[in-house]
Amino acid sequence: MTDFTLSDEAEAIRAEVRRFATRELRPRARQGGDPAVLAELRASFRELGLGSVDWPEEAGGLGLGLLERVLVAEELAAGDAGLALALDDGGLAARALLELGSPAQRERLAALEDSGAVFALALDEADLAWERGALYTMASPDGEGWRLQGGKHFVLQAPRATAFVVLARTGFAPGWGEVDAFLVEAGAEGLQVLEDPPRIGLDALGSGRLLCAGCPAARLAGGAPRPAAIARLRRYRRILFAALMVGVARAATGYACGYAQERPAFGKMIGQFQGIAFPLAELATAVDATRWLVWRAAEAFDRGDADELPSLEALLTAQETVHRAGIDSVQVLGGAGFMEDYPVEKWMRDGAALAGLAGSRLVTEQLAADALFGPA
Amino acid sequence: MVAFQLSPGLAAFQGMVENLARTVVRPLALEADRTHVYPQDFYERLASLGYSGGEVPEEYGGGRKAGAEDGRPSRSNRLMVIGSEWLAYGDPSVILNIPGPGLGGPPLQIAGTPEQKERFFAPFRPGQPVAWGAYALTEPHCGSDAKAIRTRCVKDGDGYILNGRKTYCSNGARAVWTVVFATLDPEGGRAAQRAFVVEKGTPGFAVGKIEEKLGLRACETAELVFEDCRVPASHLLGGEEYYARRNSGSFKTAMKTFDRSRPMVAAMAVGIAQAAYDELVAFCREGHLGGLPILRDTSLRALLVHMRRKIEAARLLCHRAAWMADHQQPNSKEASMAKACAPAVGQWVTREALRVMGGHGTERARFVEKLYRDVKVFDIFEGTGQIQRLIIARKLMPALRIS
Repeated sequence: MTDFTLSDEAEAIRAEVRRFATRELRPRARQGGDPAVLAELRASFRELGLGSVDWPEEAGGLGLGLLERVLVAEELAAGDAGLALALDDGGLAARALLELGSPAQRERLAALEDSGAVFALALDEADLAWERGALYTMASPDGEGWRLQGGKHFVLQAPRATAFVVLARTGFAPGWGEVDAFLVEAGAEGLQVLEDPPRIGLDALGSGRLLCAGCPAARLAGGAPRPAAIARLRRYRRILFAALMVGVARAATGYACGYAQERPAFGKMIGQFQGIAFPLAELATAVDATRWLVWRAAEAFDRGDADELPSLEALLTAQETVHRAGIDSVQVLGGAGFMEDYPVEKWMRDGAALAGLAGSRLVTEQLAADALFGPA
Repeated sequence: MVAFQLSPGLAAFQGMVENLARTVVRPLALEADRTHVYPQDFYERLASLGYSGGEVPEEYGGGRKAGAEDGRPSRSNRLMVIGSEWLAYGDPSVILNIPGPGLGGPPLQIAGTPEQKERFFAPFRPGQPVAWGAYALTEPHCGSDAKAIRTRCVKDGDGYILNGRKTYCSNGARAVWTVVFATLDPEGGRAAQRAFVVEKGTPGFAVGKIEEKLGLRACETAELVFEDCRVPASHLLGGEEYYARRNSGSFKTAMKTFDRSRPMVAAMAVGIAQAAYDELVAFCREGHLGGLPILRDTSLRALLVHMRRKIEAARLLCHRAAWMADHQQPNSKEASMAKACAPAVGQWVTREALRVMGGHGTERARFVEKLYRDVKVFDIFEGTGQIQRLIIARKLMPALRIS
């Protein structure tokens, strides 16, 4: 039966992250480009273990599920989504190592603590339909190891990453039967990392493109059965992105509600006009509904459910909601919303950046339709 | 713990309701829509299966409530949401037809004295002939603005005299009693309002059916007329002390009812949307468009995906509001969110289904045209969509008076 009861532990984590996001992230949202600020925040982020709540305890995490990770992500993003991503040195690649890596490869996560390692996950390719068969980066065996040929796009943290987990094809069979994950070191011969040009939002987060011209790579050698484990990784990514979008949408909605209670016009506060109040009511409803879709997907993930739909529905809805929250909250603030003196224009940009980086709506809808009705 | 899967017991419950909806309700639905009534043995069958329109508390002779055992939170609101959704899936008209106290039950349960509960829940005990209760708030001149009711109640010795009209009252003609909201003073606002249980056949109390409607045609909708209708003081809901103590009239009673009924009504709209979605998919599986199976059309697939996630989102809002009610948490905002969202989704899904199906969608036998007509009122009764947005906005911006 549907139940929304969080464990005491999850409630406590949520409260703690909310404090951190409110006190540390939101006031510095506009200073995300300052290396000193980033370094200081990264230290606190690591100390609080915010990137590892869902890692197993033996890997240094709290052993909790994606649901708890989702709670953390929403809170961090309500502080600042760019910082939430930029402070996480393990990121999605850590999840890939945990799910797919051999014990020795998983050991490398320990290095995050002390060696200044940064991992990045490289999934996307130039063709937006990489999840529907257009994944072209090839891996070929070479002695003990492998070599990669191809290109990867939208790799978060790429400019500062020390290693990459790269998804590549080992054969031409359609579908996911011959796709695997490989570890590539940042300085590897034949690997070029090109920093992305500036993006609409997520100012604190660097990203880039990988050009692999025969660069050496190690297959992630854990025993998890392949197509299923890679599908899990893709679901995990969708759900986490969606949770970040809920955080941004919630922040924008809450700020606009606060503003509407204090801004006078025509002898009233603007929130007393239905033209302002009703869109805010609809927005708050959409944010709640989106959050429950994200929770539902996370809960299904934690149960080991292999259904693709919950994560796809959560992502599509989060993309829609975050765009709407950005646009409508700027509208509520009017001219002030347009200015950098107020946070809402940044949330509008950050939301658009998150929604775009999480994937094309066309592809996601087609994936959902494939899951529902079989291939077209 | 956070969970979105049904427990085995609940999955069985949902399966049972769904089965009833598909095998018993749906085959009768088109005929009932045409004749405006379900056959009497259908009501008896529903009652014999244990379905009750509105809850009858266990201590007043109702069935044992699932999940309230062992001091655990009640599950009754979540059960109602699941049951409502799937019965509406069969036919949106059927829910308001289920014998039981109906919307009159919650105010009786919330405000009634023990003697009143004993007496007025009695007709709904298992084994009794099928019976209905009703709830009359709306008047010809006022709907959403429930503060503005004009039906008068005047103290007269050991009773009250009622004068006025009520309208759009579900089951009002066949109800054994109706909870009627009236006012001591139309200028007196909420504090002057009182609620009475008025029994069928009380002198001065006349009812007439409203026959022609856009949808929910198999539901009985009545107009009530009170002309010097004398009601004993013992029928004043909660008794005199209730109003002296609370000093807020019956308005709060009326509003509290909504916190429990709105998620349920919203869930019915979810059931309607799901039914339209399923009919559309079935249509697309059988048909061709430009020589290709319709279901392979990319834009249609995107539309179906969009519909499905909107339905899921609305469903979750209903479950959330019901879960809060089960846990005794204040849920006015969340109940309104469910009620603001689900009928909008229902209207959109039924409309888009009609549009995709072209001329076929307009045929009665396809059922979608009926869903399209039926769902409209879900954005109107139990508080219009606009009223839900007002309630949500007031909760979001507590510093303001929003009207």
